[in-house]
Amino acid sequence: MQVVEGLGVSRGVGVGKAVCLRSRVGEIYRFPLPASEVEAEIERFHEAVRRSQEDLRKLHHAVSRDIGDDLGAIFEAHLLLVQDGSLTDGVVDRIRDEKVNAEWAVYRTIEELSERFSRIEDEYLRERHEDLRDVGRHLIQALQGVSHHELSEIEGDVVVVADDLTPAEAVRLGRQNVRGFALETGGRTSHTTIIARSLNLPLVCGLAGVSEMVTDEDPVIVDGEKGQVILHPSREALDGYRRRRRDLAEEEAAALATRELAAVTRDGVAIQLMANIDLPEEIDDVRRFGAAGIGLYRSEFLYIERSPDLPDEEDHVDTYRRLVEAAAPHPAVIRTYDLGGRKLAREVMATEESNPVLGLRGIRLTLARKDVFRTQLRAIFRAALFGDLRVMLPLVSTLEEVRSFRAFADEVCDELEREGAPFQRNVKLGVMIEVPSAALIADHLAREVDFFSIGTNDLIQYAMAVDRNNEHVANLYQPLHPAILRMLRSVILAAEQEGIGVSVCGEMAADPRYAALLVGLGLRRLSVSPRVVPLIKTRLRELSVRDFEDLALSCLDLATAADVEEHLESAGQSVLSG
Amino acid sequence: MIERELEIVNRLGLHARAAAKLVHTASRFDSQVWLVKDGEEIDAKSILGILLLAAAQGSYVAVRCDGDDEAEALAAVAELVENGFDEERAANKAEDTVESTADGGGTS
Repeated sequence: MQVVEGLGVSRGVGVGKAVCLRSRVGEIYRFPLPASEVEAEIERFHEAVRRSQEDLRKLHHAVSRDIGDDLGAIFEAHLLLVQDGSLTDGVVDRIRDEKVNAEWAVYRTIEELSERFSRIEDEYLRERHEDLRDVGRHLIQALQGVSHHELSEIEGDVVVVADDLTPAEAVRLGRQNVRGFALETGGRTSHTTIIARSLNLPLVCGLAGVSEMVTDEDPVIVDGEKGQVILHPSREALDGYRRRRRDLAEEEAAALATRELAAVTRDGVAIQLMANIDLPEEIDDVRRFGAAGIGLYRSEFLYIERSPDLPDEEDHVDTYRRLVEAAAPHPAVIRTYDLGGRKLAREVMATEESNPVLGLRGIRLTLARKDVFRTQLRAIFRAALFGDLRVMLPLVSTLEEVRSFRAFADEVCDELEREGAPFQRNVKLGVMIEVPSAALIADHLAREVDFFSIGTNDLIQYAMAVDRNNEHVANLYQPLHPAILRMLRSVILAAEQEGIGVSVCGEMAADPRYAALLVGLGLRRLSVSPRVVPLIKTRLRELSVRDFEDLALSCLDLATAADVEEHLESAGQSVLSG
Repeated sequence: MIERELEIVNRLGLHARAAAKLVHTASRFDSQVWLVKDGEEIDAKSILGILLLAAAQGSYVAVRCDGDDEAEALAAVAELVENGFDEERAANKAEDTVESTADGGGTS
């Protein structure tokens, strides 16, 4: 069994036999032609253009009819490209001038044009060279008379493993018995990815060399959720994944059914269930899964996606506007870049730190590199015009950090005012409570900020002095440790005292059992990944806060995490069934 | 010959699908249609040229038409560009539909 890590860009899980496609235009050779054959070669090229045109025209119609005009338009663009004079003339001139075979002429012409695309500044437009390459491959396949892969000979479910896949191929294959795609190239915005999503098939890309690692008919698992592909899986893994696939389908149906239900406990206490968002593609999931606003947008993903370029102010404004609009009438909380630590800050930070987890990260990095963060702040105040946008600071450990940030924010607002740019100065400011020092001065912090969000993942790691990814000590990562529960309780009380909002956005909130405990400790707002919202909502609707309050508070006096666990379990039955 | 400067207003700029619409519109007319940006002039009936122009949202392009039906050609291209290639409208419409379903629920 071999696990290959990539990037899951279309969700779901697929299991099937591999069909390997190697289509990269790398095996194109240059053949010199005698002068007498040049005109025949040009005619062969024109014939290939005609065949490609016919092919793309059919695809355009079929896709527009079966999937939608939006995706059909991709093939319309390809159709226009394949007959574009600047492309075809370029190829014909090259065949004639260099006296070479048409494949080589197509290959070189596309390469040259792609080179011009790579100089385009706008990232999205620059990526459109993919369309050009797709068309180039189309032409070469037509020249070589390569018939399109027909999968119907392979019995049962199929996973397409390829070095590269054009959207045309994805459509053609995806409508057969394909259960997933494992690709070496591609990305979040590539058309092939969009096709896979609309066909509801998992796609993992960025799997270097994967097409060399399997042969036809090998069993393969594509896990679009985890962003990995499992080659030669064991029987247990296969069974496990088949089950997971069924579960996912059932979950999805059940999830969508809860969308219209209110997140209210059996005894009538309303809980605000918000969504944690990493990627712009997830924005639609906020409404889809019935989340009440966005409790955490991890803005560093914007940076990671654009890396090595820094996102510009318009990128930020555009994304924040979409978040605010998706969250309305509820708020959208933007957490400023949480870079440093394990996440990549190389491009921003030139220095290496010996202990980055305890180093220059989160709010510390923001205050140390105002030049970099100014862009983000300007965008936040500008985007706040579009709705209830709030800003939240990561890794706060002292009160001075909050004050320095406020001064910085004022400076940025003054700057916007001088420029006469439209913006909103009054933006609610919150802090992440994820460092024990912040948890213990929560009463002081509560007087100077508008809300708290408890990041349980880091809080537990810092409080327990444990790296949960380190297998030797991972057992010390204990969400139920009384020290953690006490800290949570005191932060909740501090927030209540000052009348500010408090939520939990860590993974603890996403576990149904812990979520119930958090509500028992006094939380009325949880933020979880959108797909988890229905699960937590279902759990909340069956519990009674009154029962859980006593149970949760009695846990505070216990001595060990094991005691807490046992206590919860023994009470669990009666609380659940009661 | 007539010419007019236009702002690209749709979010993704002159990307593949927008470019395809532009080619179709320009090709309906006998006149020559060019786009000019940063001193570079391209044939608006060539999708490749349009893509290479790399006109992102907020950039300005001049549309230049020459021929018997140049006025009509310019008007048609201008309308398409100014309407953001009908993309935003389509997107907004889709969003409205989602909103009305979500509102029916009334969470918390």
